[in-house]
Amino acid sequence: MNNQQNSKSNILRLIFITFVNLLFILIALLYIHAKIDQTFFKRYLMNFLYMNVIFHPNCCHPYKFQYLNSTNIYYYAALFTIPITIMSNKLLHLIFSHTHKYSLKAIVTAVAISALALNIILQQYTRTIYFGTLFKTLSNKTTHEKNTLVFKDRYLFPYECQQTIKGYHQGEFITDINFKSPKEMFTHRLLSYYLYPTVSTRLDNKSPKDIFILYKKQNPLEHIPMGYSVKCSFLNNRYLLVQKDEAE
Amino acid sequence: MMIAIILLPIFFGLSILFVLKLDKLLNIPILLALSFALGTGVITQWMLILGILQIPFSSTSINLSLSILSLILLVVRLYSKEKLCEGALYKDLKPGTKNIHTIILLLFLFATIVCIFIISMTIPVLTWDAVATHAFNAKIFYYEKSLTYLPNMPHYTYPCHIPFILSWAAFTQGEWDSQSIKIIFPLMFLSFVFIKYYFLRLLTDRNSALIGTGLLCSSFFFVYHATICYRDFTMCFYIYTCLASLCLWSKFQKTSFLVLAGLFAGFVSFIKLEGTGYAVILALILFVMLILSKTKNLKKKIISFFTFTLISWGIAAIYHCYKYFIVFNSITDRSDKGDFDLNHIQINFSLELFQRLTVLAQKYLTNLFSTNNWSTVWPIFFICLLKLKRKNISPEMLILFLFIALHTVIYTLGYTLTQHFIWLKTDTALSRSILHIFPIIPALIAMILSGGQEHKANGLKR
Repeated sequence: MNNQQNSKSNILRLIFITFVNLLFILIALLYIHAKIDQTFFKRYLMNFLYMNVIFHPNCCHPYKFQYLNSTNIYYYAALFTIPITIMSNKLLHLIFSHTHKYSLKAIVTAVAISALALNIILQQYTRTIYFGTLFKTLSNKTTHEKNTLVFKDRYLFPYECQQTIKGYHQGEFITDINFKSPKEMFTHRLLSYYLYPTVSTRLDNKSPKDIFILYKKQNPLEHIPMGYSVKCSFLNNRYLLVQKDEAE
Repeated sequence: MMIAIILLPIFFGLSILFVLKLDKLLNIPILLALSFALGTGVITQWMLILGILQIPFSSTSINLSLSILSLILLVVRLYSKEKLCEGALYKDLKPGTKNIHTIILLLFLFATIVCIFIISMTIPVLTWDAVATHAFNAKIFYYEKSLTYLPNMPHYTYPCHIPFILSWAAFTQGEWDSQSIKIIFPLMFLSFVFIKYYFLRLLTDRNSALIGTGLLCSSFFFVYHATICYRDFTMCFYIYTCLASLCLWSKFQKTSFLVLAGLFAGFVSFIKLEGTGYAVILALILFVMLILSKTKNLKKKIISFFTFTLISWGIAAIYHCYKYFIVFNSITDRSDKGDFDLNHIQINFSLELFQRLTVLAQKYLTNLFSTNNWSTVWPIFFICLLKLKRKNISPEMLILFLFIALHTVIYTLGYTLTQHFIWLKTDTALSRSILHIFPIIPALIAMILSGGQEHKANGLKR
């Protein structure tokens, strides 16, 4: 029983030592990297703590420093920690002969466990900060307010159109920009999503085709088709919705 | 009406589980979790049938009809006068020791679940695919109330599980709200956590089951996808549940687990285009299991195989027949190269193959070890593999390893030999395809850590 307790306390002591060593080496690596990059160390550390994950539906990228990313730094730190822990272990054994001498396998295992544990702790910390920030920004707001905050005019213009136009219609865009470029494609999808069902731009649902939406068109008023009049204007004619006059 | 969105799928799924008499084997938490998973699959299949029959979608046509069917199934089960909710498989499990690690893991799981609910219900629909396809198509189904315009819709070749379930949520609550329809995803996450834990509980000890569940929830990518309206989270959910059911069938030899696996394999085919491929892979895994099995005779093997495939491929066939015979026939111009479909695959054996393999290997290694998608799960997994002994590989572990191997092979072939290499080059799809198998990894870690001790720990017999 005593042997088991001693063994357990030795393991815990080793993990604690390697964890502390790893932390110091991680901070040292960040410091050296900050110096090479000629950036303030405090900013480096803040970026590492708060931005080490960038959330995206296709991939959660790590934060990229000049020569490292915030995930690979753990591998380098672990590599440096192993020889340092071996040396400190030998030194301690020389000075205090009663201290336990750990094998290479035990040290490598302890370093791996410490690196994994530190990675998990810091990443979960970043996750908490990220979700906490999102929550603070968007909580206590209605869906309308949230959409307005996030999408601004790309939500508000369709919202205004929905208040103005009665019934269901089909529409087309008149624009100078290329909707096939990734950034503008998302704008097109967003406008279409929020305009539907009042104005359907991506689906032929057999409703009357009597709407045009002028978006980022140079001199938009000159491009309004004959027989159409402006029903909704937004941001100094940056967005215009025109509908066919009923008389025709 | 949020409560209806929670209770109705559970009601529909529970009736099926009662008829399969799985309540005699499983305890209440996993029953409820499985019910929700099953119920959402049943709802979307039912909507597909309604659409094919040109019956307008509404809360009445979907919920009332399914409720009546579920009630009939419940009456059939109650008529048998057998005891309900016995949870036999969990009765003899040893409780396991409570220590500081258990409490930390439980707190972590609880915090993650709460976080997912809060974030899902705080952030409206705002990601690309959701706005462009899933939620947009769901909105169309909600307002048009039919499949009439499916051929004109964006990505009309894609299966409709997610748009259907989102539009069902809107029908059930009586209005379209981009925020509240997202409740489906945190509920799926909650079900997933319970299924994960209780499945591992039957195959390992409590600590290992908690570690496996905790590792799953530590992944950023996995948790993030539970808050956005993408199909990949649902895909990995159904794939994992199907594999878990197959493992339980392998261990306990109860046909009801095989039927459950068949149902989930069928639902998988209705989520994404590659879902049909997964249904075939799952059937192949069952085939290999049956070949290797020494306890069954040939007749039982054939019956088992056809039980699974008839259910899974039968469900897949409904959508595919509708798509190829009705949807495609109503489209005059199908030259839109932006719409990928399984019948548009172009296989290309070129000299670029070796270069593509190099790019693939580099992308995989970077994704597994240098991104923040998976926390530390993959390094832990590979370290555990080094410690794994051949004698400790159980048939259930073999099923999971086989699935990972087949998934890797097929995606390697798909990325290197077809036009889908573009998705690999642009980092669009790799993480999402790995997400489909990711939940298996913590399960394997848990099984390796428990090291074949589950029989001693749990006192369960095969």
